[in-house]
Amino acid sequence: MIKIECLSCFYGRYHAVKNISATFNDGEITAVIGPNGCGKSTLLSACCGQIVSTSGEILINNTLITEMSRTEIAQNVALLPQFRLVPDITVETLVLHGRFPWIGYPRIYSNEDREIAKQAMKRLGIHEKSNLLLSLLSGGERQRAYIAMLLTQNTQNIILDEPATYLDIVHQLELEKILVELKKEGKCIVTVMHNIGNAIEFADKIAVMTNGRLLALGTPQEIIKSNAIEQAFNVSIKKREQYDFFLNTY
Amino acid sequence: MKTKYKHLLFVLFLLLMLIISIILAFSVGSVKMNISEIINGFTSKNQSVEGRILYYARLPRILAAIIAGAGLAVSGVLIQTVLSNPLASPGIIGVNSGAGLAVTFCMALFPEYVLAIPVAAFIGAFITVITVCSIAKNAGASKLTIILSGIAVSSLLNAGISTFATFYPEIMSGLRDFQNGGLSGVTFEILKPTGLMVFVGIIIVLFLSEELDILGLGEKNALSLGLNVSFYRFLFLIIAAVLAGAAVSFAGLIGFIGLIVPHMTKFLLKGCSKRIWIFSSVMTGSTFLLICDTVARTAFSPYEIPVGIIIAYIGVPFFIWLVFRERRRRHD
Repeated sequence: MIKIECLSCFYGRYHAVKNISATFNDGEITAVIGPNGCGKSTLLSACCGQIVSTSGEILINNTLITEMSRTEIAQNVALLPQFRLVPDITVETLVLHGRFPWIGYPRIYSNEDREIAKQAMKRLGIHEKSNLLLSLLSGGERQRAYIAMLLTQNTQNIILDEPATYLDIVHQLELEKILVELKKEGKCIVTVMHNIGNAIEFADKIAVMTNGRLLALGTPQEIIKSNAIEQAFNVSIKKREQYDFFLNTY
Repeated sequence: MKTKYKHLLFVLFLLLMLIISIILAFSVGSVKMNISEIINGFTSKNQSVEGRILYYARLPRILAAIIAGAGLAVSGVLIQTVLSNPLASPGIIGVNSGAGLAVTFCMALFPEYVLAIPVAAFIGAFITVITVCSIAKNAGASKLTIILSGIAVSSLLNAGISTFATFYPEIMSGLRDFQNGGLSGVTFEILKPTGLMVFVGIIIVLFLSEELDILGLGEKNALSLGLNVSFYRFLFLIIAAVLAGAAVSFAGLIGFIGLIVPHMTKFLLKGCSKRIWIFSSVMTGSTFLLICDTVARTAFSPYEIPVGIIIAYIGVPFFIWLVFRERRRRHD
């Protein structure tokens, strides 16, 4: 569980996150939505201790993040960042790096660590490419390799910044299935999503942000009723007869 | 065959190449020797002329090539990884020039303190690393900014070296050799502290190679995996400065190795871990500099060409061949 109380973050003089309070529960998927540059990535980075907040508190599994060591944070929260490098390593090596917070010196991975990495690669359907270089994979395969690394990290809280980028529709659905499975295992999942229709259909809770502020946090139905999406994006939401939800720009 | 075993075989091949180049470097020169003469030269109680040539002329030079090659290559690996920039190297970001200015300062003002040279080289290299990184950070820290800052700071430091040469003309002859880079006249006296610095530096890097691997994933991923990114960046930059400073203190401004050897090794050992990359770079750097130095001192004997020139003549065509081979492979 991640609990945020009155959180504010600055980049120099720029006030990126303004006085946000929210709780992301275990066994739930929370989709964070909002226009580009509204502070979503900053909020998520702060939740895993990558950005030091100027005021407010963040609690990870009821422990203040400021009282946790970097390794302890990594054992409790895993982040899939929005932008990722393509290092000159194989898929297997990348996925195995997910075990880094769990190994002490002299930093040698055990057979158990290798088995966890193998299972994660199988779950993401990339185990047949485990010996290939990341640079030789497609964008979607690379994305799945990074998600496999995240699963290998085996944390209670999982934060994903636009995980569906580069994924085709089949793998997007596959990813959603995996996230639902993780939720059923009792994990707390927070993900930035750009497809609002998908977020409404798939997430248990939705957090709507604009201009660094949290407009609303609640179930999809509560969010639809609150008109927060309309305020944040300047769009209207209507329910289709046959299909799901779609957006109409004014 | 599994990639891991392929890499292991290749490391053994590199080790064999290093041993062969050491034997070659001992045997060729103004006095040619075969393997039994080399063994006799080292083991005979009454030291013969060959023994003295081997011990006082060739051994220090061979050790110098191994130490400088290994130091510059690993320094290149560290700088390229820490800055996530394949174009960075101790020569390009100004570390060598920083060490060079400090060495020139020592040569001009304290010529009698030989042992102060490696310390001064490290201080010069370290101050330059910090300066370049600070400028790049404040200016946006893009890959291009770091390279441009390095080139600018290098020019300034080279101007400083020339200024010293103008006011202290007695260091001019030594300075020319220093700027071209070379291993002639290297003594055990300077090799002992610098060798120790390079050895300890490489051992620490090998021990922390997993941290270096994680750093190579980029700042956000490294932080998410629990790595103290600022601390390790700083530590690896210090070690890079120690390694490059130690090499520059006796070998002069040999810049190309720190850029080219990490890439050569990476091309040859695709997808290897940092531990193997570092270990292979040690051997590739040492072998490469040793071969270049052997060619430099024997190809036009009795004249000796600065080793930097030979490095360019051998290294550049080899590097271009590797780049094209890599391109062909990708197209296949």
